Amino acid sequence: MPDNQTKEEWLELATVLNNPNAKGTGVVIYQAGGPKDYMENVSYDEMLSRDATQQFFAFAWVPDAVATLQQIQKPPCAGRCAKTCKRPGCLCDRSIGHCK
Amino acid sequence: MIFLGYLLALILLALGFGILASGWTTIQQAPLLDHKNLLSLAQIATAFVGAIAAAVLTATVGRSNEFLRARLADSVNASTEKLKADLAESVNASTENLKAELATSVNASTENLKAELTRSGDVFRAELNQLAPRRHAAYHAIWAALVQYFRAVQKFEAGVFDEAALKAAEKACEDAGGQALLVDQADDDTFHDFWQEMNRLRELGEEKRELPDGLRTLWRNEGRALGNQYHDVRQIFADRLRS
Repeated sequence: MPDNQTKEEWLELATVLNNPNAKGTGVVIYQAGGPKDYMENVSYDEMLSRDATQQFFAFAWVPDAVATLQQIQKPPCAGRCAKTCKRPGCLCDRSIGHCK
Repeated sequence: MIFLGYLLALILLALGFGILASGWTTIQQAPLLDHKNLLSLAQIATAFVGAIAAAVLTATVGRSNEFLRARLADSVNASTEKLKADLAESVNASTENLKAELATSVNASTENLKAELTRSGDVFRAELNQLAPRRHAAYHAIWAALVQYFRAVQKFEAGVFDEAALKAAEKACEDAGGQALLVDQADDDTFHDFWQEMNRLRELGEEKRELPDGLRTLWRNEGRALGNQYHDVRQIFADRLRS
């Protein structure tokens, strides 16, 4: 079961809802406890396809309308988590219960 | 005086030559005289007159040299004094000009700076008057949202998972986060850290809500730390608004 941590309200934004090719940034953890990686300039559907083939441990998609790659790389991802993290671009690694 | 000296020396020399010529003539006209004695007399007289003329001439030349030296010194002194005076006058005039130009330039710059400072001060005050209330409101908004969330999570203590209240608190934090641009970065981090912690408890509570005593146990394990964090955040924001 893929751990898709993309916020539903981001998928409901008009710029995303009306444009299936809307671009954004993919944030990915490939394996439990592993480092976080970014995929720039991808659509949400592309992220789902990549997850299907690569079986990410966790991922989220942040539309450019919410934050660009540079913006989501800035804030520190810290704190404990159960399922999700509040800062855009931060993923909850459920294997350790920490945002990264 | 010097001319008189030269004149006297000339007269004496002429007298000496006159005596010599007279002696020679006398020798030609009076062959009976003892030529030797007459010649000796003429030579002695000429030498005497010549010596006096030479002494007068030497004194006169010396006097003349002193006079020339004095004149030269006077002339050099006069020129030096004139040059000094001219130089002093020129330096004073230049200094006064420079002083005047400097004063004018400094005054103009000072006035410009004053005007710019006044303008920028006015702009700063205007911006501050607009920004300060908004910043104050942003702090109140994020604090109000966090308090709303805390009160909703606090219901776990009674075993209540108030889904509506938690959703409303989530929405309040989302909205307040939009205003967080006006708060300090450190305080924005504090806001997100506390929000993240309550989000974690909400997600855990959602999992344990169906378990007997699940929410109470969760609160018993996490409530104290969350309460401490609540008070810390309150203190940080209050201090920030007072400063």
